[in-house]
Amino acid sequence: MMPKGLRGYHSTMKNSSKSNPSVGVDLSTHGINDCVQCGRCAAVCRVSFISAESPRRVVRYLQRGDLDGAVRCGFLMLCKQCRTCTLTCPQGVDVAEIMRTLVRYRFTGYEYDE
Amino acid sequence: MKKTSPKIGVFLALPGDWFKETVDLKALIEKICKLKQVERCETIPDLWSETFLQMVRDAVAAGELDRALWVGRFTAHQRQKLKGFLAEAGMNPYLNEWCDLEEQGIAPNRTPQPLLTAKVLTLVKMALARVRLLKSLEPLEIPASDAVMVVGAGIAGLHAAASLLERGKQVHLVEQQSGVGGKVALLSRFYPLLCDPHCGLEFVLKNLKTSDRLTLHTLARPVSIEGEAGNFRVRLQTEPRHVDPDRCNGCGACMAVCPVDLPVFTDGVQDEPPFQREKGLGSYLKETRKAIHPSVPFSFPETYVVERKACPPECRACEGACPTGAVRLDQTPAEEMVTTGAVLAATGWDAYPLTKLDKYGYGKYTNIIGNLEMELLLSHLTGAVALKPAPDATGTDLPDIRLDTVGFVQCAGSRDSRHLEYCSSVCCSATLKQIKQLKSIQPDTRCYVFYQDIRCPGFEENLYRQVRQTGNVIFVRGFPKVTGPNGDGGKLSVTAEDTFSGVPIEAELDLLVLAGGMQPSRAGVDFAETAGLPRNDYGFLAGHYQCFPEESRRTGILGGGCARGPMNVSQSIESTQRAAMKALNYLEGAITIIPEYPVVDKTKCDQCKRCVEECPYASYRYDEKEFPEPDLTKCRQCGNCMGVCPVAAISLNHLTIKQLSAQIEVLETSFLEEDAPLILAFLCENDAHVAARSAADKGLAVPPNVIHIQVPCAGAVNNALVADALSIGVDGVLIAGCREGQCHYISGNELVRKRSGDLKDKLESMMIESERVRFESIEIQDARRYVAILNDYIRDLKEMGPNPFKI
Repeated sequence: MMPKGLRGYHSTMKNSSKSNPSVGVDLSTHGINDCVQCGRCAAVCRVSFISAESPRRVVRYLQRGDLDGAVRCGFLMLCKQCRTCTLTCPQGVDVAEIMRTLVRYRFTGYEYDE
Repeated sequence: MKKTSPKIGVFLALPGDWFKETVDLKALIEKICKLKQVERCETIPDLWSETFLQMVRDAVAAGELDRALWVGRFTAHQRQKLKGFLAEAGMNPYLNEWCDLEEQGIAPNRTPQPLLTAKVLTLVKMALARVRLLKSLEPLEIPASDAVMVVGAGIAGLHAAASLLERGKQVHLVEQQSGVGGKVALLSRFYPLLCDPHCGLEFVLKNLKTSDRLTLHTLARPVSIEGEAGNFRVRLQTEPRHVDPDRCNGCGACMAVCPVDLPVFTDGVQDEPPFQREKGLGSYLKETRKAIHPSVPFSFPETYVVERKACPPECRACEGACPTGAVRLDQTPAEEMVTTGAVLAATGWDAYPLTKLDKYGYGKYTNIIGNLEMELLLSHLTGAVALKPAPDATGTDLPDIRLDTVGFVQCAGSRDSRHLEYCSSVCCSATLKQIKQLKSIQPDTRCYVFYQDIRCPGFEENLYRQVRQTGNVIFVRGFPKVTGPNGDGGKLSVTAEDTFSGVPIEAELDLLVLAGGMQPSRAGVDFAETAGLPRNDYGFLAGHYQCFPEESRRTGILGGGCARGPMNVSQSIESTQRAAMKALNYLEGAITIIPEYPVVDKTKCDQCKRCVEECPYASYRYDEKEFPEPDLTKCRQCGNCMGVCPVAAISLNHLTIKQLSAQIEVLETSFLEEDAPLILAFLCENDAHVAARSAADKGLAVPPNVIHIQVPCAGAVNNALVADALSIGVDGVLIAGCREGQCHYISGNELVRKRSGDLKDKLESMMIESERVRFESIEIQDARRYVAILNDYIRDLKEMGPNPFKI
């Protein structure tokens, strides 16, 4: 069963704009597919250099459709939500919001059973 | 001149043997012969046989025939040849008319026999109605200036000027700086050959220097452009040079006494460069300039210029020192008027202001520079392993810069939704060239290239390969963050993520070069405003991006080079040469106008000004009695004014409202079976008509219910004609134009859609369903869709029942 919290995410993978309005978390609006993996977010991130991963890599997991891989990243635990990544992104991807959504999902939605 | 009734010759080229078998040819010819003003009607046995042509020619020469209707299929080539042939015998080419039966759906085994004869007769009658009203027309010649103005004397403008001079034209070259050369004069090398741009400039200038047809306006800019193609009147505003070019011999005596020291020429490199002499990298460059100096950026014209703003108050040292008395310190700005046939904008580009990229710390750290500044640095770097401060530099504690490790940041400002959204297209190759150059001076330099994608189109890939092979160049796919100077000799610490391995990279750099992008030049923006030209989403001059890139919305004003978008040197030369080629059209001393232009019938016109508003090229102006009048040099003869006129007072000369309504009048609505609807289609000749023609060529089952009339643009169909057609009993009117946004005349198809609202009311007052008029978009390849649209329409019309006006 697909976790309720991330239905919106799956809809981005299919390039559809449909999302469930009743679900508060919707990754389709954050522009995962706009990311060109330039690495600017990783460069400006204050914690990516003490982590094994970077925000770029987390977004890459999502682009590949590997939600588990993204959620398992230790980086999520270090992200301080300073939003520098969002301010730097040349493509206008809301990177920080993606991180926040994934953290919420990791703690609340992972074992969500409908 | 005695008015005589037209004598028409009708010549039938039969589609094939099947036609003879299905139609009673003899009866048909007899019927046609009996029609009004038909002098003779014959089948063509062999079009190009001497006897037939001789017979027609003799008839025309003897005055037995004065216009011809050619029925059957004639290719454009054959039409042209026949027209020329009859013109030799003294018949105006505009007195020929063509009636293609096959494209109207006359084909074997598709149309029942009686219907076929009736349709052919109807088509011939319609064509004849037009032939009777044809006028002989002659092309117009409008006197035009043979001078051309090139705005911008960068490499693109210079090349355009050189080619136009070669063609023997008068060229006014306008440049806002004191010398020619533009951005290219600031570069140290061109890629990929690594040759000095000054050599290229000198080469193109060689022809300009000796030409007496060139007028060079330096320190000038156009402030207004009036008039139209062939006769533009451009007002130029010229800043004072303060030196008389006739007297100045460039001896340099003035420079020796000038007390002002300015940094090397950096205008146009960056707004606030770290190249200031006080503390920036400028203190490492040994050269300075004085307030009076040779023309910059390239010393042509070979005369001096005074930067009056930099002069100390009351200083007139140069005036006294000049042995020829050339200095004129009290000159004031001047204005002059220039008449030209065409204007070519080669206004070039400006560097994107890197101060906007605050995240890299440009302007904060001395050793972060832009790529144009790197060019300047490279041109001053001659074999030196380290940059030493100039002896007279103000900050004496400046460290040497060793250039052991140099970083390059690509896409600094380009491909970024917060800055320039497009790729500036030259920065990758420019960076690779700079690395190659740097390596040739100092082979053991380590270079880091921080990039997102390396874009080296075409042969520039070779440059990329060469740089990779030199070694000690590390390409990092990822962008750096400058963490600040590390305190050791002013080195910069940067960190980045190598996105391929996901591993962080740290580096200590002597110099960080930001490959800033290209934005439209300030002068280009001003020019577009002055000339009233639209700019595209990115601010560059807008043209038809694919098919007519050099043309602007204003006929006779052309754009070339970086004024139109980011280009490298060779592309911008190509582009302006194309623009120069187009400019030649307007420089022949006279502009020839095809006589199919619109004419306003001033006895009918009620001065509602609809035509003035809706002309896609804004070509209407008012005559002395406030009547609208098309400006024939701007007009592209689309006929939208004819379509829009509420009183049908405007007609294209070769497709008048009268001719069209005469054609509709003779249209017999009863040749089909009882319940079969008849459709009159107005087809745009660019797309829809081609589709209809190819539908017939492909042998598709085109229903016999449709008769079409070719118009230059869907927007040329006047509502009065549609109402005419419906009132004589045509069941449906189809207007077919191009797809949205693809109209060859910008907006004709949208205008006709807009007008259909007005038509609805009119039809309702006539008690006719407004669904009887349909607008469709048909693309050039849409032959099958054309047939499907017709079948749909016929089905709908059948449901609607016959037109109440049908006899």
